[in-house]
This record gives sequence, structure tokens and C-alpha cells, in this order.
Amino acid sequence: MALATDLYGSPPARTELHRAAGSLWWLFAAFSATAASSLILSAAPHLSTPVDHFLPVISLVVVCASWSARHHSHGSWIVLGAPLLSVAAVILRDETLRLASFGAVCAIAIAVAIAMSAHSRPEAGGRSSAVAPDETGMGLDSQQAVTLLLLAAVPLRFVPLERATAPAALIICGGLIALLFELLRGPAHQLVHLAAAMIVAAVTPDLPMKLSLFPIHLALLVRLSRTGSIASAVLSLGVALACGKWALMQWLIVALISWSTQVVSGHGTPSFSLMKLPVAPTWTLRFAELARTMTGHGPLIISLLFFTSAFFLRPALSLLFVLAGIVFAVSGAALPSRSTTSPLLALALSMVALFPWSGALAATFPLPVPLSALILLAALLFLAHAGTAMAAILGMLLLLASYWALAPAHPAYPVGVTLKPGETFNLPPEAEARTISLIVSGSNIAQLGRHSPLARIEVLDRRGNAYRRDLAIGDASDWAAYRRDVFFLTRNPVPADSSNRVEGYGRSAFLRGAGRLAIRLPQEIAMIRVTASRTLPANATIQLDAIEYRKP
Amino acid sequence: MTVMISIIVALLGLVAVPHLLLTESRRRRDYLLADASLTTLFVLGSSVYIWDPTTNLELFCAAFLVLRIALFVGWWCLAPEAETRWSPAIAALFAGAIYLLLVPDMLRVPVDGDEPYYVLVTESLIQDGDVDLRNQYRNIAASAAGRSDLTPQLGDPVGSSGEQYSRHQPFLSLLLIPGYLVAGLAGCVATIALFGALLIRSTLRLFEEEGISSRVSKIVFPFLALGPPILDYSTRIWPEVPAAFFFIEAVRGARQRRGLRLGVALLSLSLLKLRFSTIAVMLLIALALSERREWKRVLTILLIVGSLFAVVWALVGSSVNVHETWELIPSAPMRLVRGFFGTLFDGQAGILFQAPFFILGVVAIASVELSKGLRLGLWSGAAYMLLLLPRHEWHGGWSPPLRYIVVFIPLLALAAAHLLERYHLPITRACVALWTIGLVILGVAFPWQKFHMANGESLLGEALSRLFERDISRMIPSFIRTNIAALVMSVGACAAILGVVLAIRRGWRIRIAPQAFFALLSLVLASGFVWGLRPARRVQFEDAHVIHRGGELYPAQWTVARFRYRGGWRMRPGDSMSFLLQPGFATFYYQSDGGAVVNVGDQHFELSPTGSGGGQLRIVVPRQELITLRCEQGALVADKLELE
Repeated sequence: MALATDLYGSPPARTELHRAAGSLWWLFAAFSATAASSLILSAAPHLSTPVDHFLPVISLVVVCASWSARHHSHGSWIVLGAPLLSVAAVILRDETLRLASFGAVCAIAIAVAIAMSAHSRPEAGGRSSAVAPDETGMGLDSQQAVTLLLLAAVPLRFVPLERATAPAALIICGGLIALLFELLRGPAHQLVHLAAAMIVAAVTPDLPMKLSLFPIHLALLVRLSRTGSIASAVLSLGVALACGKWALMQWLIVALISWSTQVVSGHGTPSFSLMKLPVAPTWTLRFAELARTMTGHGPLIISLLFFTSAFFLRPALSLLFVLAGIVFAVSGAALPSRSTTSPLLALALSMVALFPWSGALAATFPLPVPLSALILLAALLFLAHAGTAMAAILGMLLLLASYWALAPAHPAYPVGVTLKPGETFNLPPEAEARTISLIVSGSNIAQLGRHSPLARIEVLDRRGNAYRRDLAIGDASDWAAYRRDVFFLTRNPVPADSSNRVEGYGRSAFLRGAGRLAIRLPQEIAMIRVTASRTLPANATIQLDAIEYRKP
Repeated sequence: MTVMISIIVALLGLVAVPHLLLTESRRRRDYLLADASLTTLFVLGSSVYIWDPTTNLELFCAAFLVLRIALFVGWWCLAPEAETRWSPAIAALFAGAIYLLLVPDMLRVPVDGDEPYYVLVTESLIQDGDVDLRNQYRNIAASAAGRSDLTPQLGDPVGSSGEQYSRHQPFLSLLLIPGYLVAGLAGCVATIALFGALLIRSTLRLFEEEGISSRVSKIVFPFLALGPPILDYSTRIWPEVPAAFFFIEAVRGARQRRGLRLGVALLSLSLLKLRFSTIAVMLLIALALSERREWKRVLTILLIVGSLFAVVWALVGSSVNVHETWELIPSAPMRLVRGFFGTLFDGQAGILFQAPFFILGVVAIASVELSKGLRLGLWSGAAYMLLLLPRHEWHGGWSPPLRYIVVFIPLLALAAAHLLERYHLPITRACVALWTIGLVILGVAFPWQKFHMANGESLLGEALSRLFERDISRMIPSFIRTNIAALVMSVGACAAILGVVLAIRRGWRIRIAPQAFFALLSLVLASGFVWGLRPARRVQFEDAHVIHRGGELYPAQWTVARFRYRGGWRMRPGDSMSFLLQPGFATFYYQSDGGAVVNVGDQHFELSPTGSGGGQLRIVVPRQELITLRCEQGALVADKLELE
């Protein structure tokens, strides 16, 4: 009886009991969701991809996302994603649709958890918020932010689960936590920082292995730009040296800009005081004034320099500089919360949704969707701030337009011919075809730069008119140029009209480097001849993958 | 083209309507943002599938349209009262607009079941001024029904001079005349849609009169008006929705003591279908018993109803048309039990699977204190249910699900509203809403799938069985071909409902942790799926999981009252079937006029002739991944193979 009074009579004891019961429910939910996924996985023969094998972990991610939002009155509802995953796994036989649905459920669960965590307030007696809410009324403490980041990083980095790549994934996750902590000290909204870290988690290449140091390298660079201390400079230099020459270049830019801004602002070294001498020429004083106004925008200057450098570098390095640019842009900018949070978070969550093909994200950065869709998304998010009715109408009209544009696909005939340098092949013409699209890729040409000649295509129409088209890097690329193990060294840009064929799953996924080359003639085509360029490397080949004919 | 226009109107409407119905600008803006996001999602989705010729565009468009409507309705109905415009009339207008927009969608395929016959009678009334359909059948190609294959139904009455009447009472056809004159077949469906809108208004007015708050009315409205079965029957030519409207008007008339309204409503109800007259009679009895003063009024109404039955007698020679008076006597208690549980829990024809929200109404009837109008309505329906549930076609026959209880759906909604007045039930509502949205999407995308041949399977079971080539249908309860899942479901659901009823009556406070509930749901679904993939102990050869190579369904799908036959698969030499079954001794049920030889695995079996009856043969089912049964000689109808 006394025990009962102790347990149920006094309010503190009852609260403890409720908490214990709550924890048990969460454990039960985690166990049940994982067990359900494992059961389905063991029974359904169609669940054969590495992403399918990851299903129990995805279910666990959904439960954990819900747990992270448990302080919100409806946070536990996110677990609804677990039965949805089970249903999707069972009924969706189409592989692309099934994997996309896994990604969508995972991303939506994390998105809702972010929204709920940002809007919830800790319970009385619970943990206190580390960060005060901003003008949008949203606040996210560092623990919540790290949990949510890791939940996003797990599907992005650990699929497929291989012993060889797990250490790299773990190093990246560690670096991401460091980067997030460093970013959270900045003036921008916490969600912006979280989104930036999620983008880094999604896109960072992990081969060669040293690239997995990239997030921690970024974290140290951000710290260097903030403090300018010798310790952070040495530490970041060490990591940069481990990463490679490109990292050293980034380190130099950050160090130079941060130190020069300190110099201009009068902190750190006495040399600047010399410039204040009355003997200094007028233009020097004006420059000093300008520099002083720029001292508060060091990260932005660094960001601009990174973006500019990205134009001149090979694809992988360009990507690393763009990522660094994004991180520095958000690290120092006190931008309005609403206008930056939505687009950046939307981008990050879209990447999470594409985790079944996360390896292909690097080559197709920012997203493997048509530019028009991206513009639409950006416009919607922008208009959402100004007036949403316009956004709704715009979205609706675009939907109708997309249906209007619905047309039967043109059948592609596989060709499967490989040409060595100087070799020629005649493709069979199709009756009445006036437009052909050749789907072409190369082999052993990843080192060739943009505009390097690959082949010549000669077409003859029924009236005897001859047409010629030169095929170069930029129209097509090495078929494996964007594969995980080749991407870092490749110099091939993504073809202008890519065949958009993704192979593999998770981090092993890559965009096949085939490009589509369309040739339109006013008359019916009589002959198509393809000749591989003699200037190709000796071991290089050109692959004619397929041909599409379009009739008037 | 018409479908495209209706889609465009719906899309434009969903941009305009929020400005009318959401009064608070911030809520309106938030909704439009959510709407825009949904649209963007579908645009991106369409960009993925736009070049894929195998894309099911109907499903894609239906999903988009239904989800947009669901999003708006959710926003509208869950918003605080001060931030929206709400009244029964507005809700009815909204529902009516949706019904009308769905008319072209429903008319993508020819009307089915009893529908074309009602159109035929309407045409006869307009063109000839009679109900003799002989000339309509002769010139069937000219009918707006669009069914050139139409012939008189089995048991249609024939007049003394050879007149060909329809078995259906002509009152609905009379009501369809104005609509038909305006827009032909579409006008007929639009007339029913109009009745649907009227039904929603009447029901919501009844809610007000019964003391239901507008908060709860708004919660119930989408399930009632925009979910099955009211949505299904408001866009098809069946008498169920008009009957439900007249029934609700009768209940309102009775509780308000308005004789004219009551009289007209009961008269119309009785004229729509003979079976509805039991409701009218019971309502009058209930009214008479409730207060002695009502006798005079009741007698007057009975007199009017009786005189109209006399008119029917004068027209077709029988006051009960093609029916018999013995049909009014309840029979077969076991069939009653099966019909009762089937109506509640059957996978294809039960409330739980086809309109799950109204299960709340069933729980409420047993647990909470009911209002006067609801008690009156339930009492009136008791005899109707006792008559219908023991019938072989308790599931409605060739019609969309829940045909026979459409008339009571508003009452079940009212009962559910009483429950929701006391309990919020957010998890239940969310799950039910998701399921209902799925049902509506399928109903809009593939309206013809609402008709099922009642062979003991369900659409869900068939789809899963085809997908995995395993008998997953057996995991879904069926009371048409009663299976173990049905027994388990009946016992489990009854226990659960009784538990809930007990908890409500005793005032126990039950709190369910949503995370545990959803995870458990996930586990249950997974276990069911895994169990369903295992080979069964019985194979019905007409089922979807059986791989048929040649042969045909027997009896044919369009056989009248096919559910009364033991279905099977007709095989001739060379035809074969593959299926999964546990190994062991099994009994093969078949029918063969002249005998046949079949091959199962590597064994040959000679089947003795059975004539028109059925035969059995004991065979050994080999231990094989996939068992093949091949007809070598003769012809047979393979019914089932059951493990001993």
C-alpha cells in the first residue's frame, strides 16, 4: 500500500513512471518497425536491391525521427511512416517507384520531425532550449539538430552497407557533426545551417578515402575564418594537407581573407595603423574605408571566391568548391530566415529523398531533375513568402502544361557497337525518319577535357544532301566518368543532353555518361555514318549505345 | 474531352473556393502554400513518368485530384469555426459540385447493373407515356443508356398482352425525366447527384437538430459526403441515395411532427423500392407507439401510402411488382448471422473495408446515449435489416459495395458524430481518412472496379494475389465464401468493439501511444503478408492467384446471380493451371459430364463422369514449388482442391 502511494500518489513519482512507460513505448515502436521490415524483407522475393536490404534501418530512421520530435504534441505520429514503408515495400513491384517511395517517406519523416522540433518547446522540467527562437517563432537546439542531421546522413551515406566504405561514412558523419556545431555559432537560422550540413552529407564524394575528411576540413575552415587563431590555422592546414592540393587552395583562400579582414579591421596586427598615417595618399584611405566595410562579410567574400574558382576546375573539384561556397555563404550571412530556410531546406530534403541513388547526386548537383522543375520549385518557395495564390496557380498551370506536353516516347533501338580510333560504322536508316538521336558514350576518355573531339557523324538524305556533325566531350562522356571511383579524376562534364540513366544503388549509384545527340533533316534520312576520331587515345573507344528515330 | 474539362474546372475551382470558404487570410495562405507544394510534387512526379508509355495516367490524375480535394477539405473542416464559412447548405453545395464534376468520369464506361433499366423506363415514359419496354428493347441502339446488349432481366413481369415491364419500380425513372430531357444520360446521373447534395444538406440539418456541434459536423462531413458509399451512389443511377434523402427527411418530419414532410417522404421512399416500405411502416409504428395523439396522423399517412400501392397494382397487376409477400418474412438465422458479420467485416462488401468511418457509428450505437431522431431511425431500419441480411445477395449483388445499407449511412454518420462529440479519436480518424482517400482514388480512377462478381475474393486480395502469384486473398475476410480470416476477424473485431463499448460505458480512459500503434500496425501487416505468401491448404481454381493457361471462368462473369453458383474453371484438353498448395493428400472437387483425364505433377488421374452434379477425387499433391494441373482428355469444371 505504501509502495502504491509512493508510485501513484505523489506527482513526481507518477511523472517518472509516465516517462519510463513512454520510453518503453518508443523501444517497442523501434523493435516492431524494424521487425516488420525484416519480416517483409525475408519473405518478399522482389526486394533484392541494396536499398531494399536497408529497409529495417530506414524504418528505424523513421521511428528515430519521430522520437526526436517527441516534445511536440503530434511528434509520435511520424511513426505512421513505418507502416507506409511496409505497404510500399509489399505492393510496389516497380523498382524505381518503390525505392523512390522509400526515399520520399524517409525525407517526409525527417522534414516533419524538423518542423515539429523547431516549433515545439521542451516540457517543464525537461531540457532547456540552447537556441532562442527567431522571428519566425522557430528554434532548434544543437542536440536536436545533430540528431536530425545524423538521421538524414545515415541513409545518404550507408547504402549500400559495405565493410569497405563504412569507415569513410563514419568519418564523414563525425565531420558533419563538427561542421554543424561550427555553423550553429553563426548568425543565420539554425535550419539553414542544418540544411547546409545535410547538403554536404548528401554530396560529399568518399573515394578516394581522403575525401571523407572534407566535412571536417570545412568545419575547421569555418572555425579559422571566425577566430583566425594560430591553433585553428595549424589544425586546418594539417587536415587540408591530408585532403590534397585543392584543400590547400581552399585553406589559403580562407586564411588570406580572414587574416586580411582582421588586419583591415585593426585586430591582430599593428600594421594597419600605419595606413592611418596622415601621409597616406587619399586613394589608400578610400581603399581602407572600403575594406573596413567589408570586414563583416569575410565569409561571403570567401564564398564568392569559391564559387568563382569552381568555374575553372574539373567537375569533382568544382563540386567541392561549390559546397564550400554554400557553407561559407550560410556561415557568415545574417539573411532573412524565411526566404533562405525554405529553398535550402527543400533542396536538402529533396536530396534525402533521393538517397536510393545518392551516389549519382554528385554528378547531377544540385538535383537530377529538369531545370524547369528547379525553377518552378524556387519560384514557388519565393512566392510562398509574397503571395501563395500566385504560386498555386503557377503550379497548376505547369501541371496542365506537362500533361499537354505528354507525347508517346520514341522507341530506342539498341546498337551496341564499339569503334576504335579511326573506325567507321554505318547505321541502318529507318523509313520516313527525319530526326535521329544517337545515344553515345565513350570508354577510357575520362581524362579528356571539354570540346575534345570524339567522332564525326555524317548523314545523307534521300536527295543526296550530306550533313556533318562533330561529336565532342560535352555532347557525350566516358560511360563511367561519374562512377564513384572515377569521378574525382574525371575531366568530362555532364553531357548537355544526358541520357539520364542511373546505374547502381545508394553511394554506388552513378549517372551513365551517355549523351543524346539529335540530328534533324528536312528530308528522309538515307545513310548515317559514324567515324571515331583519330585523335582519341589508343585505348579509347566510342560506344554507339542506341538510336532513336522520329518520324514526322 | 468532357473529363478533361471537368478536371480543369476542378483544378480552377480549388483555387477559387478557398477564397470563399476560408475567411482568415493566414489560413488561406497556408492552405494555398500546401496546395502549391502538392501540385509541385505532382509536376515533378509527372516529369519522371511523362515519357513512360506504361504510366497509368488515370490513376495519376485521380490521385492528384482526390488528394487536392482532400487537402482542401481537411483544411476547411479542421479549421476553427471563426476562420471558415460553414453551413449545411454550403456543405451540400460543395458536395453537389464534386458529384457533378464526377459525372463525366463515371460515364467513361457504360452504366451497369440496374442503371440502364431505369434509363430505359425513363425513355419509355418520355417517348411512349407508358412503362412497356418492348419498343425500347427493339430499338436498343437508340437508347441513351449506351448498352446495346441489354435484354429483359430475369423475372421481369410480362403483361397480359405481352407488355414487357421492368422489375424496377418506375418512381425513380419518373424523377429522372427532367434530367434526361436536359442532358440525356448525363442528366439522369446529375439528377442523382442533386439528390446527393440534398441528402447531405438534410443530414447536416438533422445533425444540428440532434445537437451535434458544427465542429463534429465538419469532421463527419467529408467521410459522409465525399467517401464511399454515398459518393459511389451519388454518381450512379441507383435509388439508394434518393431513398436515403427521403428517409432522413422522414425522420426529420417525424421528430418535428411535420405531417406533410413525413407523408411525402415516406410515400416517395416506399415508391422507390418495395424493400424501403418496411422502413416506412416501422417508422409509422414507432411514431404511433411514441404518442397516442399521433394515431390519426399515422392512419392518414398509411391510407395515402396504401392508395398509392393500389395505383401500382392497377399499373402492373401486383402491388408488390415482381416481389412476393413471403419475402417480407425473415428466415434462416445462420444466413442472418453471416449477412450481419459480412455487412460489417467482409473484405469486399463490408463496412470496415469499404467505408471504415461508419464502423464508429456501429460502436456508438452500442455505447453512447443516442438522440431521439437516431433512435427513431434505427428502430425504423430494424425490420429492413432483418429482411435483407439473410438474403443470398446480402452484399448487394452486381452493384458498388454497401448497396443495401446506403439508406442508413446518414444514421451511422449521426451515431459516429455522437461518439466524436465525446472522444476526439485522432489516430482512428487519421487511419480511416487515409484508407478512405485510397478508396476514393481507386473509385475515381477505375469506376468499373466498384462492381465485383462476389466470388469470395476482394479487389485488394486479387491485386496482391496476382502480384505475388500466391493466395493472399485468404488473408482478407470473406463471408461470401467464408474463410478463416472471416472467423478470426469476426471474433477479434467483436471482442475489440465490445471492449471499446465496455470502456466507454464504464468511463475508462484509454490512451494509445501513436508510435506503438503504428509500429504494431506495421508488424501486423508484415506478418499477414508473410503468412499470405505461404502455400495455402485449399485452392479455388477461379481465384486470381491461379495461373490459368487456357480455359474459361465458369459460370461466366455476367451470369445473373453468379454468387449463388459454386464457381470454377472450365478446362478442355491442353488447358492447364498452376498454383501453390501444401503437399499431401487432397480432395479434388470437379464436375464433368463425360469424364476426363487430368495430370497433376507427374500423376495421371481419371475423373469419372458426374453429370450435372459434382464429383470428388482423392489425389496426392506432390512436393513442388508450383503445381500444375493439366487436362489431358475430356472436359471438366475444376472447382477446388482441398488438403485433407
